Amino acid sequence: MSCDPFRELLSQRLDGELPEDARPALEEHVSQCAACRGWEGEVRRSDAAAREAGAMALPAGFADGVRRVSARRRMPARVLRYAAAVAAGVLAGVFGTMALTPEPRTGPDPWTAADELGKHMHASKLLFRQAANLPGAAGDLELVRGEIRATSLVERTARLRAVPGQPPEVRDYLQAVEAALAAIEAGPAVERVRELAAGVQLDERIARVQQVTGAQPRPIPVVVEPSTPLGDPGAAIFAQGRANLFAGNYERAAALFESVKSGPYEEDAQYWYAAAQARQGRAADALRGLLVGTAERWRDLETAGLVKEVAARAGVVLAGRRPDSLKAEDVLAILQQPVTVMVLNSPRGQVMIVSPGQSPEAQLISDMPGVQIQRNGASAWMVVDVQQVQMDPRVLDRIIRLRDQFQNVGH
Amino acid sequence: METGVAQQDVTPLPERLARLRDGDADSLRGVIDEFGPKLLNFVYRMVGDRSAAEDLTQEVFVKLLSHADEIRDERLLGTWLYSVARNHSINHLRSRKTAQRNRPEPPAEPSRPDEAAGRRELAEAVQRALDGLEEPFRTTFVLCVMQEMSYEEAAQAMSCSVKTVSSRLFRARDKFRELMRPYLYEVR
Repeated sequence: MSCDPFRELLSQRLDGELPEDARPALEEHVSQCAACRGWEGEVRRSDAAAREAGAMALPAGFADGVRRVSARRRMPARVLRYAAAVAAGVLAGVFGTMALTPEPRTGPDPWTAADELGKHMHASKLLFRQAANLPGAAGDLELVRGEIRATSLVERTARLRAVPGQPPEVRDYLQAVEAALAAIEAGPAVERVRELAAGVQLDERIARVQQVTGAQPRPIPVVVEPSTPLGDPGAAIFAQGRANLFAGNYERAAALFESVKSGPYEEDAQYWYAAAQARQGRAADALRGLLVGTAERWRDLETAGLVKEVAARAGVVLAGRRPDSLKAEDVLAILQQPVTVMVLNSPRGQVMIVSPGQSPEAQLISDMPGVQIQRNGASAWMVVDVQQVQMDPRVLDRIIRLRDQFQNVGH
Repeated sequence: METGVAQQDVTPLPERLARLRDGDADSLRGVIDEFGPKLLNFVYRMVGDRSAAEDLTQEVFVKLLSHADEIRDERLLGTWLYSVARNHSINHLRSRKTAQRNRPEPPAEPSRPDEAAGRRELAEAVQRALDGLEEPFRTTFVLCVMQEMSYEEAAQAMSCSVKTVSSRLFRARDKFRELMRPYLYEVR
């Protein structure tokens, strides 16, 4: 009879795993089998040798090393997790069903968690930079709110927050953004928004997120908002314009807004056109939208503040006065009546003159060569090439005085 | 049969695992203090390479941080860790095709030079003998003999039955004894 079954029992006995009911038979066999007794003795010695062979200790900084490597690799794991979540429909919503580009496509925008986080960081960077630098014009605050809506930043934040297993740095970042967004939407004063934006310490938080996840800020692609009625070309263009504006494609955004000449989005498009131009430093074009093209409902104190800010930066003369010498209420008073904007282009630079009603100067030169006029109701936008216009000497003198007032302003 | 790796279910994540998942440094340190040295020595005995053992053990904990929310029962944490460590070790051995295995290093801080030499010889002999054990016998031997794990725990870590553990361990012991015989009779 083979000794193997008994030796397995001996092995069990060495480990304290021998069943009680097997003990009598084992002991009887061992008492009669010298080979098994010898085997057990050798096994005891070899086991002891194995246990005495020495143990390694964990190297110093082992835990820190684990955390470091984990942080470096965490994002790929998140990518997989996000992808799985999408497959499961957990994240169905803006990412899965609303990310439609103007181009015909067969499915949702392919995306990854890293991409989504990158887009979120890009969006919040633009948003908070703008919020932190609000010049005091409530119109800018509306722009901030508009961008929050246009980019679905609240929804994006909530959905990213809901994804389990986020690194603490990502959760901290999302939590801070979420709180600030809620506060901005709640409608605090401009000063409070500036404080909020600064308090978020976004750059530091984003840097930590980047360090941990490797995700890089990346522009949000052109998207059509879910509420946009598809099939309405004007609406689609308007939505594309907002998306481009947020993505930083200001020129493209301005072109899109300008192209919307009719339909329910016209009023909004005028305002956003101005915002897009203001963003790329084109004060003249921004003011054209705000002063001449902007619909009645935008002519409020917020817009007046934006006009004042843009005009001050561009050295624009508002009703014969420097913008910084005007209160927002004064600017609003100008906006609430028809205005004439004269843009004088000369070798020494560009001067804009904004006058309530139809200024005598404008009337005098409106028919001359070298003057381009765009009218919107009773308001007029005049672009004047000073070199070409044969002006009345009195008008020219007045214009030159105005120009010299702002000769150091080049825009 | 218990697989040793936690199954997905809907029970809330135990607090310690939730903290681990969230990257809590103290929780990680606690788990490493509890399991790290044993895992390191298990992996070391599996692969016979100190440097690789450290790397592989680190990988185990890195994986833990990203998969903590898959372990729904904290009692299975150790089982899960050993299971992953074993897989990592086996994969490492498979991928190491022609590289010369590093010799075992002496245990830490011997008190006298002659003791150091003796321990080094013993460590080398043990590692040579372990190298002579095929999988899954080596894992079974390391877990049950060197790590003094119960059969039940070893069965969970290896996703097999207790009966299989017993059978494998007997064969592993028998082989290890045979391989160690020259050392035991010549040196001791």
